[in-house]
Amino acid sequence: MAFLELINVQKSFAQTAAVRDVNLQVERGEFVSFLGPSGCGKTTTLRMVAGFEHPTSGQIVIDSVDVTGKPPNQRNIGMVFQSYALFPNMNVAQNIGFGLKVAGKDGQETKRRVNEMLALIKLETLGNRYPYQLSGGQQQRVALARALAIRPQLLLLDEPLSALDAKIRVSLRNEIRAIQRQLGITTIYVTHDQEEALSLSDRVVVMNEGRMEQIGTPFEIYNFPQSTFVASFVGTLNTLPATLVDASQGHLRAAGHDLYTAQPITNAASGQQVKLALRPEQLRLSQTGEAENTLPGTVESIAFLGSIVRISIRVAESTLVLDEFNHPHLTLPAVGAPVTLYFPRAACLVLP
Amino acid sequence: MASKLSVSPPLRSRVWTWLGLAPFFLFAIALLILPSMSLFIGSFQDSAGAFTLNNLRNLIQPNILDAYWLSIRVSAVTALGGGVLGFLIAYAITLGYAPRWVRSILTTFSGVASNFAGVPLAFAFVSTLGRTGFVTVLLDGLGLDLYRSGFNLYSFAGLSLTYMYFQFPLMVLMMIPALEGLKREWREAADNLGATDTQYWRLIGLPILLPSILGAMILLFGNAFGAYATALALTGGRINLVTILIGAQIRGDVLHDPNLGYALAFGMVIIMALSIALYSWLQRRAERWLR
Amino acid sequence: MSSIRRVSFWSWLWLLLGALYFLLPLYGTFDFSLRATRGTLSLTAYTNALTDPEFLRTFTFSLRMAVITIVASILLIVPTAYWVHLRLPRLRPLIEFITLLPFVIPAIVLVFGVIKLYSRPVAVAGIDVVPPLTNSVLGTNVLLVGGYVVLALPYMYRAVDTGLRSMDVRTLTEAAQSLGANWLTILVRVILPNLRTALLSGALLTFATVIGELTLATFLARPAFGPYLALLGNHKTYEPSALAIISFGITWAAMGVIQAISRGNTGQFAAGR
Repeated sequence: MAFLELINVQKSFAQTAAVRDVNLQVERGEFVSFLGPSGCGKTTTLRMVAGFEHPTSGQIVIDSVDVTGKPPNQRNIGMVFQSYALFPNMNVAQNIGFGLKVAGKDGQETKRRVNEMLALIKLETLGNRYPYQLSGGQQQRVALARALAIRPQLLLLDEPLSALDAKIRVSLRNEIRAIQRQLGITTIYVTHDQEEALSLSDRVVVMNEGRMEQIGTPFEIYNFPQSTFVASFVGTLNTLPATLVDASQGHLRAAGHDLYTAQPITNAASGQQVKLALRPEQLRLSQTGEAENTLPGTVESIAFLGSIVRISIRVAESTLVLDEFNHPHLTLPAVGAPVTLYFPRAACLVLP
Repeated sequence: MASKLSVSPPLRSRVWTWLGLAPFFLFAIALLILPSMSLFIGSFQDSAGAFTLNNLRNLIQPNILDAYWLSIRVSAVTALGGGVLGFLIAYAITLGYAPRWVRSILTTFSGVASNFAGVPLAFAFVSTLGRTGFVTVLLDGLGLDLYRSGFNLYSFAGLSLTYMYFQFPLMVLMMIPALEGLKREWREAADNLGATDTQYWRLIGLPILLPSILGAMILLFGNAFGAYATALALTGGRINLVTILIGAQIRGDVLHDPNLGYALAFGMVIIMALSIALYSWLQRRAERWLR
Repeated sequence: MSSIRRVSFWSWLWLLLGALYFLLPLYGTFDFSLRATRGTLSLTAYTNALTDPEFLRTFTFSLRMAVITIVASILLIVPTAYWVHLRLPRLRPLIEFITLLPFVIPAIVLVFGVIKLYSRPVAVAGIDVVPPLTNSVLGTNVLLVGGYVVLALPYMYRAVDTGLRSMDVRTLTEAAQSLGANWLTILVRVILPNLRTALLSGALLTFATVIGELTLATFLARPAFGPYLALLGNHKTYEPSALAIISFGITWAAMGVIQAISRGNTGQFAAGR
């Protein structure tokens, strides 16, 4: 029995459907991300779980209890807001202890719990500071502690790191994940940053225009995307128009060349126009293995991105991007030079 | 003019910079600072121009102390009354989710009403609550003789009622931005952590708003304290407010002692200055939280 | 919290109370103003009031003073605010303090000080720099306009300041300079046009303030609309109400326009009481 269940949840505002047919089961202790572009409905879905929005239809069940009609202050869910929402008239300790105070817990217990939380977020010395005296990262940690202090059954995070600098984002997200693992609390994390979603989650729900496009582990989502949207939203993706010659053989024809996939193709029929999708890191400029596909092309441009060198290659009418790991003795082709692309059969993704 | 807008401009450019503000400073000096200083100095002089503290001593007459006390009372009552009513209306407009049209009409009306002071306002209240006023006659028709039961428009109560007409709209205008500054997320976070409506207002909403509310009320106090035209038009100078007294001194009625008048004005400025200082301090605290 | 988005009973109650408080006096005045002819409702009071030659004289005088005040305010405040924004942001607190002074020094005190100071020549180092302004009509008018500019200062300045803050003053100026404009051109062609809304709001507010102003005009003995209104109140019964309604109508029109052009930017208004 799943811990959190969203059953046929729909939400419409006026005439527009913001969230459609969301069905999800989250296990206890799981870390699930909702990933998608702005306006895809991920935040709306989260807010429905929290109780700030009412589903137009559908149910939300937490630990076998239907909470769809319950007001937010009775759901025992911890929420971390994008803008932290720390109460400005209270210091850090008072903020963290707010949920306990409101529930009528006695002073000693509250104090103990607050100290526990301060230790968890490693801000033991800042209990007396006020929010305006803290940095963005510190405020976010306090917001997290405040949500966790009430021992919620579910933790919801709404793009908690989007207002922070890149470096802090990386360290803070790892901290959040570590705390979540330590406490074993079921968590839903909303973000538009695919790196965050992929690196933190047990499973990722990719959403687009109110619908769930795909649910799966980060590995599955990246390597086996089921739609063009998922493939192009998560990571960089090259696409080449191709004709499916024989689905059972995995035989495609693109840019005047015969290409083969590792498995038979099931999502399209022979004779159809499809898209051949390839990840940049799967392409090579020299032969490395057996039974590889090849495509000829011309180097268009070379971009040095730090640890990666990105080479843009023109193949027929399309531009493909190839990523090579940087090292000091790398030999690169000249711009304009003709090259041959090599990629294994397993690297071919066929999209409708 | 090739001066650059860079870090440390040369001397010539710096002179130009300060010169640019000269007209404003000259104006402020000529029409604000010097007249006030003149009054200030005058309150320490006698009719011959010699230094004296007599004027200040004379302020401690029952007549004058009564005037200050009356002014303070009227200002405090209308600040409190106008403040509470204004806050409740602003609340109804913002967080009470009043429909859009109500909000825009009330905001415009508040802008108008807070400016509708002085002579026309006095006329309006005389036409409404005077002896032959609209409401008086109405109530008489319903059997309630207003004036027989002790009410008088030309009294403390009547004056306060009239002042409230521009006090509470001013409060509404000041409270709307403050109430809107209450972030929705705070409410949601509080809900999320289990707080009820009352708990939210008691622990978060009102504490955050308090500096704004107090500051606004103090501004209302100052506003009423310095009011002259309305009081004059309504009571013809019969009510003994500090502003009326000062007006009498300027005109030369009754005790023609201009120096006493200067001292009166000086006393008034002190009270206003204290109010504004308090208001500014509270505003800054409010801004810190409502950022 | 879309689930709780209903207007509560209490909210409607306060709104009703507020509306009643606003409207009753207005209605009362309006009703009163229609009763000039015994036994019937008529506009006699209005016609009497508007055809009174004194009305025209004082109203036009106040109108002229209002226009001059508005122009003087703009000429004084816009360059100053611009300059502070651009070159001397550190001085902003001082300037803002000065714009708060008119609250500390209400009209009655101001006029007292102005009369005291300017009824004699103002001397600097023994030389008469300013003649006794109250001795001449022109001088007194100058003092009157000056006083009005002071009264209008807080909100005029705030309107302009807000307007400047909403545009990137520094960048616009640098762009204009790089294209060869001098200061005057920048002010007139770049800054002023972008301040149109702010200036219009400030101007309308000033207008509403000056038209009905009583204190300064009375004590400086100028034939303005305010004193006329007060005098009328002592002699006539119905005409004052009619003029009060007209006054209200003018203020309402001015505020309505401000609201329409600034769309919700509420400010603090505190005019001559």
